[in-house]
Amino acid sequence: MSQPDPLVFIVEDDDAVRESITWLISSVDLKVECFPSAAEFLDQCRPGQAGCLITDIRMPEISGLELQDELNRRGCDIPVIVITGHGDVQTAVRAMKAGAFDFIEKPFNDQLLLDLVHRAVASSVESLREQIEQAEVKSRIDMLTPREKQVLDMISVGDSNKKIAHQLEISEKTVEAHRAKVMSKMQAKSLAALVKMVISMNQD
Amino acid sequence: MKIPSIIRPPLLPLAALILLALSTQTRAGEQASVTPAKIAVLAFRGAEQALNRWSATARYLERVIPDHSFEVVPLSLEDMKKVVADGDVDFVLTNTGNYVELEASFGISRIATLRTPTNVQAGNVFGAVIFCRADRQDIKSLKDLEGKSFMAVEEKGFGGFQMAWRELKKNGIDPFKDFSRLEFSGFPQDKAAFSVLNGNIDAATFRTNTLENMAREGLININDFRILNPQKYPGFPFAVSTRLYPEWPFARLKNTSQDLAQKVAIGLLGMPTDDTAAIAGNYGGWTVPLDYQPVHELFRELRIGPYKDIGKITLADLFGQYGQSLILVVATLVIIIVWASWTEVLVTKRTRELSASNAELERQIGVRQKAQEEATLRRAELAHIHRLNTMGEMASGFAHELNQPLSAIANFARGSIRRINKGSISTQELLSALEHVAAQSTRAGEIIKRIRTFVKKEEPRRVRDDINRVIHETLEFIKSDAERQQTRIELNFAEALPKVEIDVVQIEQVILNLVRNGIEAMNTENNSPRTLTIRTLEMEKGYIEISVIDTGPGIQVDRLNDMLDPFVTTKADGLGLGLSISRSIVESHGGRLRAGNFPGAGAIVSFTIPVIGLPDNDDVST
Repeated sequence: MSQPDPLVFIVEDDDAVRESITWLISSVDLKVECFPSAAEFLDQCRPGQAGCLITDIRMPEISGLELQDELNRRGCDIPVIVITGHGDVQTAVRAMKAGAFDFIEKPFNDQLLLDLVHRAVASSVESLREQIEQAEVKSRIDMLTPREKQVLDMISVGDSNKKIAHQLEISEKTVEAHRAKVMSKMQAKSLAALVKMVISMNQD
Repeated sequence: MKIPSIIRPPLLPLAALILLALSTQTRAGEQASVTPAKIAVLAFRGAEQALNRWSATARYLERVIPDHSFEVVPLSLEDMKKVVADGDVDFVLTNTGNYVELEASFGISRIATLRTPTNVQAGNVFGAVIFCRADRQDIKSLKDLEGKSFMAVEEKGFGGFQMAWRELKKNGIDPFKDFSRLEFSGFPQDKAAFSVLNGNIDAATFRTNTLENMAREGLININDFRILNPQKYPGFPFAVSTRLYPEWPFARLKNTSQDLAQKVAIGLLGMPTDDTAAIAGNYGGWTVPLDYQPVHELFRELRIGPYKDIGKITLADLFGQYGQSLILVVATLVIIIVWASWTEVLVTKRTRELSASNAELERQIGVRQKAQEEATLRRAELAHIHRLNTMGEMASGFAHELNQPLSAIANFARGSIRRINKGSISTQELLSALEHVAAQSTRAGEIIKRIRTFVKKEEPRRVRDDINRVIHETLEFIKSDAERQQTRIELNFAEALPKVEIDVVQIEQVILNLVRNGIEAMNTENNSPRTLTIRTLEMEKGYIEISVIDTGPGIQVDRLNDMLDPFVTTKADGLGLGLSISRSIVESHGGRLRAGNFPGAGAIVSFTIPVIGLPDNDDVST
């Protein structure tokens, strides 16, 4: 499945700064959408959109930190890059504790910001991909019969066919048959791949 | 020479005497019928002889003046003076010389003159004879008497010496120096004649008619005598060597009742010449009082009696006579001089004091002016330092503010560089970016300029400006801080406010101080909405009021009193000067700064600025 192009969101109340950041980021061929206030951005937030959010901390009405809290509440996990004031360590720490991707002090080195943006975007893309994969795995697991699920669980912890047969009180041959079915349904190429899928599920 | 009547007894005693006279005068009239009127008579030959002579006259008066009694009081010359001085008698009957003396000293006045007993025409005058023995060939005129012996009756005798003395003096003889011997026979006067006859004395004198009487009595032969300096007067038959003078006067005292005196005068003048009283008194009735001027002249010439000290006026005499009025005059003069001098001294002193005061006042005014100028300077300096301090406290805010345009500039520039390097930029886009750069540079410049204006130590300058505009300008400083503190700023401005005359930088300082205090006060409340309201309105009395109202916890009542004082603060790192400097600035503009609590909100701090009407050429705002 192809994802839509990553989008960089900019939330900044100062017009000039907002426009200048837009100018800068679009110069590295990233798509940008900018908003003068956090409220307007929240209305637009779409899950499943890769990208990142650049937000100023100091804003009227809803501050950058408040925006973070709101995104967390909504379960929107777009990576957030926070622009802090120079030397404002306290705010940076709070932002990081609230789950920001990173922070950058104003006035910032343009390369630094762009690097951050790229990383954030990459991370977002990656995270999105993982989510999709997870969903995929989940849907496959849902298609397993209960007996197949049992076999899957025991395979992923490395139990031998013999052990599984003994555990489930079925014949080894039956176990082998289930195993093949599981591998096929899960579309796992190898045992390792299957285990990986299971692990990724348990990470939820 | 007549003594002018103005040089009379001194005023004060005179005034007293007048009062006394007025009071006694009436009394004398009332008492006349009760108490006998007293007649003082000169008893030169003894009291008994005087009484014999004059009692009948008193009886006569009692006869002719009913309801009145009269008493004769015989007195010697000294007693006469005393009695008259004391005013103890009503009438005086004395010899011519004594009368003149008493008249001069005590103002007695004659109401009748005695007549000689014989029926001569000129009966009310008499003189004196100066005589020697007829066979003396060496004495023919008065001048020949020089070196001779002389006898008179008595020294103070008028007819018995003084008349002769005058004539002798006229002839250049001083009886006290030019005689070999001067004797006074005393009474009876006959002695003098006998002494001349028996050669004891060369010449003598007594009153006229004495020789004739003695001859009539057979005591002498008148031809045995030579009359020296013989005079002849019409109607005067007796031998006389001197001028003629009036006989004895009957005189009243000054205080004697006018009515009584008149009655006595009429009575006397009406006495028949052969009345028993006249016979007993050896006189021939009474006539209208004569002129006693010749007597005065005699006394004056001889420098005796009242004229004793004429020409010998001493300071003591002057003092004695005019002493009282002199003292009065001198005292008054002294008082005037002293008072004038004292006033002069006081005036000089006061003038000097006033000048000194004046100089001191001017000096103090100078000092005060200088102090005021100093105070204004100090206030400006303090305000400046406070501004610097404020700017320092707001430094991070400024840094943030400056960072905005700077960041924008950096981003626009860098973005452009990247695009150029990639070769993917159009001229239009580049132009747009550069315009942004330019605009943001200007923005940064403005911020810097604003700060610089605020911290500049300029001479305080008053201009007319719109307070709303000034507040807007001030808020540019505080916007970022307010944002950082999540504070909303609400403006509640009155429209079309009249302009005020202010030092813009200083007033901005005050507003900034109040706004920052408000923001800080609300910093403690984490959840409630933070709203700072700035309100302007025009008050009735020509003042504009600017208020800053916060939604903080308000001001505690016990802090209200001293919170405007210097060095009072609740901030841990604050100096506590902000409000006191603000108050000082407001007061120097003619306004007042107050702090209190706003109902339904937090604290309100407001200040007033007077609206001053001035011509519009100082306008700053457009």
